[in-house]
Amino acid sequence: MLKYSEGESFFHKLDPRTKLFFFISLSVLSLLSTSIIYLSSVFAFTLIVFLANRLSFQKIKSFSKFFIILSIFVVILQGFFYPLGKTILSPIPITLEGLAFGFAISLRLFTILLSLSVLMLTTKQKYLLEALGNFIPKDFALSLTTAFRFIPIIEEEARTIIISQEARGLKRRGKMKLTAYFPIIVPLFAKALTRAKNLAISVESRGFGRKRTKYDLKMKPKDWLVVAGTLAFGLCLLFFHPV
Amino acid sequence: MGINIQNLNFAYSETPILKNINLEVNDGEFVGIVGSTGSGKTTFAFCLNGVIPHLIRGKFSGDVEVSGKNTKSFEVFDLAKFLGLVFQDPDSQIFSITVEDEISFGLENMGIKRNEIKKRVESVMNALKIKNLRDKETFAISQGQKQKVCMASVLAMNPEILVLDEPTSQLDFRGTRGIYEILRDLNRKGKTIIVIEHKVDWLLKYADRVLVLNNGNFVIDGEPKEVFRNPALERIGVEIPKAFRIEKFLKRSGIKMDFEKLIRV
Ligand SMILES: Nc1ncnc2c1ncn2[C@@H]1O[C@H](COP(=O)(O)OP(=O)(O)O)[C@@H](O)[C@H]1O
Ligand SMILES: [Mg+2]
Repeated sequence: MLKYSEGESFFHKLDPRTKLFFFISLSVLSLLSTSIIYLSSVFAFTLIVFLANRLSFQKIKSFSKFFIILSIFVVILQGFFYPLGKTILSPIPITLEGLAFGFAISLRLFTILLSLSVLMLTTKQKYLLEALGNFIPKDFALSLTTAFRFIPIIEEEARTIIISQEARGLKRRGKMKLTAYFPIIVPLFAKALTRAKNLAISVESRGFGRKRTKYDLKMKPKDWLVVAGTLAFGLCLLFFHPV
Repeated sequence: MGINIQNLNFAYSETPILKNINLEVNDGEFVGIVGSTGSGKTTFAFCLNGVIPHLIRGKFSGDVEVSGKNTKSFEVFDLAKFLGLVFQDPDSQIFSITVEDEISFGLENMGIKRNEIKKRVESVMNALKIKNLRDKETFAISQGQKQKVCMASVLAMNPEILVLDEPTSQLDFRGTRGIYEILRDLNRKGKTIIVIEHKVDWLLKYADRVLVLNNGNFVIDGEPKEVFRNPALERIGVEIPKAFRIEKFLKRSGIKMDFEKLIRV
């Protein structure tokens, strides 16, 4: 789960807008090309920032597990079905270009995940809410910043639904694990809708809607340093590896 | 000013839940609301803070005035300054990651200064004895603790009228007594308290007035002692306080006793 974790790192002390800029820049950069060299550089840059702030992979474990499985799927699927694939690795009908493309997509996924983690792990919810509120409507900002809080609850709900369905004799068949989860998705979705409605009721009942307390966000020299560094990286990359 | 309700009707879809309710609650009253499960108590609470008709759709008619403000012409977030509602289900109220953030939320919405927020959060956590929860994650605490956090988040905003929907359902005897002592304290300082409650014994001891919701209307309204002696209660499906059950039993057995004293035990 991507939630704030107390710490003293360089990024912890930055303005939330700087971190938002970092996250958006790297995500956008990662969407511009599917070249492996290009994406590896973007990913490496993000990874260095992640590690330099001594953030722990432990904190994003459950998240990453899901994405690792997803990217394995993507690599295999692309291996089989990539339309531009030429070099066939016989005896299996998998193409080298397909695998490479799948790998590129995975790199992109992990860049976004990692840069998002840098933002979320080092920023308190209320600061993020205020920073986002400068750019998008406040209630939308609120649903974005609270979305992560509900992940453990959704996991718990999924577990409860599985247990209650199996207790009433539902057998989960299907070769692929994925189809086995079909009967869970409908009740889970219904619950998500209820939760969204409850959230609206809850926040308005406590006065969410007018001017909120300001947390005096302030861009300091180190913020500008990070903004400049991120920009410099992006420009260099695009210069040496035009998309 | 308090609360003034005229001809309130509400239905989520076809079945009417609240039927032509007329009610007045004065400033400084301590009111208990009882009624069987599904009688519409929570629905009524949502009518008080404007969630109905603004956020929950249905057939709504009539007028609800809170501190002189008609809920139809004020947004829910504006009414929140005057009337605070503690939800029945803490999980649908709490959304912040940490307890401290959850309690500060309402204060931030009122635009209160940061150091003042800190002070208020501190004092309300002290009152509810939950200081140890400050940095805890909201999904990692017990249901009873969640109930207290919900209450703290509303108390911190310091509204004139407090509505609490079964606020002690997950608390043990001591926890419940703690909450009622706080409510009594607030009431003596002038707050209007409306509490929806299943544990009727507590209303007998703390409330000045009890309303019984049945079939979409407040069918009984009066002092707790009279209300809980009303023979119609059992048919309505509302529990009778222990003292009065004993009273009934002893009376039937022909034993005389001073029950007014028994109530205070
Ligand atoms: N959101 C809703 N949509 C439709 N029906 C509802 C909704 N909430 C409650 N009800 C129905 O309205 C009736 C009153 O519910 P509620 O106010 O929660 O009662 P209480 O709080 O007294 O237990 C119940 O029959 C319930 O099923
Ligand atoms: Mg209820």
